[in-house]
Amino acid sequence: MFERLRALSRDQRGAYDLIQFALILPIFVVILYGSFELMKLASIRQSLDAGTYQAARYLSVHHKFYYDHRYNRESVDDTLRAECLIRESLLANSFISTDTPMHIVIRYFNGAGQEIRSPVNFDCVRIKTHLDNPDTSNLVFTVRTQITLPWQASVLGLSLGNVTLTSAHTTFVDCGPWYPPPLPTPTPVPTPTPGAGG
Amino acid sequence: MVPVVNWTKDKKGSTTIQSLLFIIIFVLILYMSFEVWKVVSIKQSLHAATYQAAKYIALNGLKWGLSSGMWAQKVWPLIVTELQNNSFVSEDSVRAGPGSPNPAITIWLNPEANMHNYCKKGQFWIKVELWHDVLVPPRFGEANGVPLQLKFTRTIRGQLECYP
Repeated sequence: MFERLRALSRDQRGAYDLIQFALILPIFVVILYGSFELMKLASIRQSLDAGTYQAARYLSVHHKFYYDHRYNRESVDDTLRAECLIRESLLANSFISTDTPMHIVIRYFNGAGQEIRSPVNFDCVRIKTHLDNPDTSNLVFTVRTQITLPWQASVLGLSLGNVTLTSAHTTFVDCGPWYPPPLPTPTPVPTPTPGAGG
Repeated sequence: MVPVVNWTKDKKGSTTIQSLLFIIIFVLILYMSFEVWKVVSIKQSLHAATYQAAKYIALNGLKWGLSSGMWAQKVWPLIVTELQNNSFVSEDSVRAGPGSPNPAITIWLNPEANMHNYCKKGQFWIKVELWHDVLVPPRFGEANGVPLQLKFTRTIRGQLECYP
């Protein structure tokens, strides 16, 4: 038995492969854990993007004109509902726990890139009154979201620091196909010429 | 002089060389994967931008007049903003102008459409072309990488919304 162990320790066959394996293994393990961490971040970023898109779409449709007097809704509700869509989209991701406090920043920008409170107070009637040169540039708006993850990204216990993910979607206030129906082309009425047909 | 036969049989350091080669190839694969991810992300943004532009035209095209040139002007800010929401689309790559704008917007409107028959004949399509530079890593014998220009195209068909 002892002789066998001694022979095994003297045996040099396979030594190169062992060294090579020892060199590659740590790199491989780091890459494996790193990939998992990256996949987690990509998944959360995807959820944030989906939520931002849904919020932009919601705000695109629900705005002042629709709630004005017929729907009797407050515009602040629309903004809150849109922001709920973002949170719900994030919470649907299994990597985010409902117990973990999330720090989400939601900001709105107009077509000129200036920050606005909310795009829902846009009044579509303004377009209707300027049919000759309708200024629709202020219809465009951007929803920009930012989330700072409540945990630090790490690979094999080595912290990589706090991670902040951002997403933005640009859309426009959907005022519908506002245009007065084109007037029917007047059909020429033959005017009776004096003296004709008589 | 050392005989060539001895040199070829010398296996000292072969493991290190093999590992080094492996690592270089691996890093290249990692870099190229990142580039592919960037390309996919930009293509997604291009789709989102073109889709929003088509929707914008379908709803507002009639207000702007039945002119594809005017439509292109109107949707330009929307497309550029949506593209620049993607951090991989650099501000320098987006340029307006008559020369070679990036992105280039082409809009086709049914020539038979007019203010009276737009409900039936108001078909249009919008094509957005975006050029994006990818740095290909240097090959053997080259000092620097080669910039490779990729062109992404997205076309979406639409119909002018009919007044109720």
